[in-house]
Amino acid sequence: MATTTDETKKITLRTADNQQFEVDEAIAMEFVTVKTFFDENPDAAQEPMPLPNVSAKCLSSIIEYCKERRSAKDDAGTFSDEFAKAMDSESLKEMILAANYLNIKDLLEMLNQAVADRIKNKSVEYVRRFFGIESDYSPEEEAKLRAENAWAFDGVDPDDDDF
Amino acid sequence: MSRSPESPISHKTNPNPNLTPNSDHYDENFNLKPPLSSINPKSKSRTLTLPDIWFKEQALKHVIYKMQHQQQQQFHRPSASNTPSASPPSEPDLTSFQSLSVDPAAPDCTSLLSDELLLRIFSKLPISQHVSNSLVCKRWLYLSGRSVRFLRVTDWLFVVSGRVFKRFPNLTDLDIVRSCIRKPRSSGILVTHKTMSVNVDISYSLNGFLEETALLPSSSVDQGLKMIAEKYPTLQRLVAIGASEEGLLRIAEGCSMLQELELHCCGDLALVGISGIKNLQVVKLIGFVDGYYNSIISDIGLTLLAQGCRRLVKLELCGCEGSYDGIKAIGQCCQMLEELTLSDHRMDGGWLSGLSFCGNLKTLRLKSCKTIDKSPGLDEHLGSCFTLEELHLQQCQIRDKQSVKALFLVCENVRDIILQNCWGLEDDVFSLASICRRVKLVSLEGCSLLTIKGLESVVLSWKELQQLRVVSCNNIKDTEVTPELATLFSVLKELKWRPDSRSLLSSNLEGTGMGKKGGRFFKRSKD
Repeated sequence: MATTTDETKKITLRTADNQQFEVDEAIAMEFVTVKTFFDENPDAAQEPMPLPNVSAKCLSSIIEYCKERRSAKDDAGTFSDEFAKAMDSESLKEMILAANYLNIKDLLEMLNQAVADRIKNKSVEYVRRFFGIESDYSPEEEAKLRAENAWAFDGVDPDDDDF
Repeated sequence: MSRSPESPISHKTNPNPNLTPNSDHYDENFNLKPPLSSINPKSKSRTLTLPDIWFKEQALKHVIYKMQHQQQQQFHRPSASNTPSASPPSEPDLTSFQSLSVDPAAPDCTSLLSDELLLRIFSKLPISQHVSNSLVCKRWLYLSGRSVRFLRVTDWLFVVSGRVFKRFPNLTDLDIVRSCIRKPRSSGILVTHKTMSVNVDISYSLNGFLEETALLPSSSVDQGLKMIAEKYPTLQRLVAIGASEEGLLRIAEGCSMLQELELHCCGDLALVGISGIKNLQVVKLIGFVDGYYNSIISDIGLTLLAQGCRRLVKLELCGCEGSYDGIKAIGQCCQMLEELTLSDHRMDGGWLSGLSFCGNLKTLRLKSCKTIDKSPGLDEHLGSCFTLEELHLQQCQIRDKQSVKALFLVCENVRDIILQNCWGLEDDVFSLASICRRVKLVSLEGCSLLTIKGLESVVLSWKELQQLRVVSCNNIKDTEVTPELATLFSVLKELKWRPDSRSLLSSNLEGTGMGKKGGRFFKRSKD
């Protein structure tokens, strides 16, 4: 097991940019990916576990989130909101990928909601900029699509009145 | 197609056809109305944004991470969430909800977000955002469409070209009525009836609002229904117009989970097809609509319906013909029927007694009926629908005392009586309501002939009365409330007493100058 003098077992994780983090076992086990790894390889705890898809920045934020959430059980909602608000869109996206890779359900859910809130009811251009997506429609295709959206159907807009 | 910066990795991985839907989706001759403005293709100059710079350097690393990630997945088998498979599917899988493989070679940032993740984000957005999300990029168009469950199609080509299935593969509720009615190109006039609305132009005024040629022929509708049956096996609700037996048979074969069906311009023959749809619970059939179309549903159709759809819970018949036999068949076969609504019915006299066969009926509604029952027959032969709890009469003509009496006799156990805007409800007609001994709730709205005397005699006879609502019954005066009535009011659980709508209205308008004669209103100088 990891070398430590105090009671709590620690697990070492190595991020993509080669930084090592020592994490309380309890917190590390919230990362289902890590948990599964150790469940299947109990001996692997001798070495730091590689996390090639997670940067140090992300991992430290994730650890901070998990720690805070454990200690502030009742205030979980407001803490999450603040946590998400503080992130810029780039970090938000990175965090989602990391949380998805590490398989942390609650964090992922919260981050997904945060992204959804940020793009809710925003324009096409805003959404593209947020995600860094370049439109792959030609002008004709886009015009056809807009016509289709306007003329071919309705009911997708909840404000549509039923007659 | 303009793509993002050349990615150094593009030669390594296959462009995933699934996530960059091919232009064949767009090359079809899709003769929609031409775009409202002609757009000159602009030369797109790419300005580098932060994500581009970030990813340009990181792109290669990310691919390697992904490959390692996939390797690790196979090694670790994380089980909790639906993790994507390691290899991209060979052909676009637009119908399943399973997560597809992770990112294609496409260099845009969301390519790293798997379909599954994006879908989760979309699920937190309002459905109306689909329209703008569809314009973000092609991947989003098809991904976002997967969450849409309800659609009203307004363009027939959208159905027959197959576009609707590609864009919205997971519909459970589909309404194609408006797409089957040809719109005159230049019409700005929309005529709305209770069940449908139609664009018209001036030349239609002689033949009614809907020319025969404006409705799509049944053969075409059936074609569409055939495609719908193939593509939407989990469809739960369908609204169609002008369908015939063949189309409905296909639906019966393909959509075994269909629970709700609404058929406009439906005739007896079409109902042959409906018998295959075993799980139908809610059915609405519209046969005849004055000024629009004339399709006949008679006892034949009603019997076919009854024998085919034994699980029926709610049935609404609009403009249907038929008689005692049809209602009897429904009563006998549809043992679970709880709600029956007849709108503008054209049933033969004597149908009321057929209701006694409906062993589970709880609610009976009559809407816009010109007569209740032309010749209900002798009281002794009427029978009774013992389970009936609610009786609603809306905008019906109830001058004929004989048929009103027959109705109350059939509904003698009813608990709730709701009368709205019915013509001919005079005191002696209303007095027939005391045939029903167990009334707990009565709601009268817009009954302008009823007086306090008529109301009182009936209401005091109802010993179990708990709720009374009287709204806009202009002949009932507040000042005439008797002491007995007042006592009754004090013991009721619920009382809504607003008979004099006129005074309510005028008190609200005081000081505004409205409701006074036009000339004076306009002459008044600004205060």
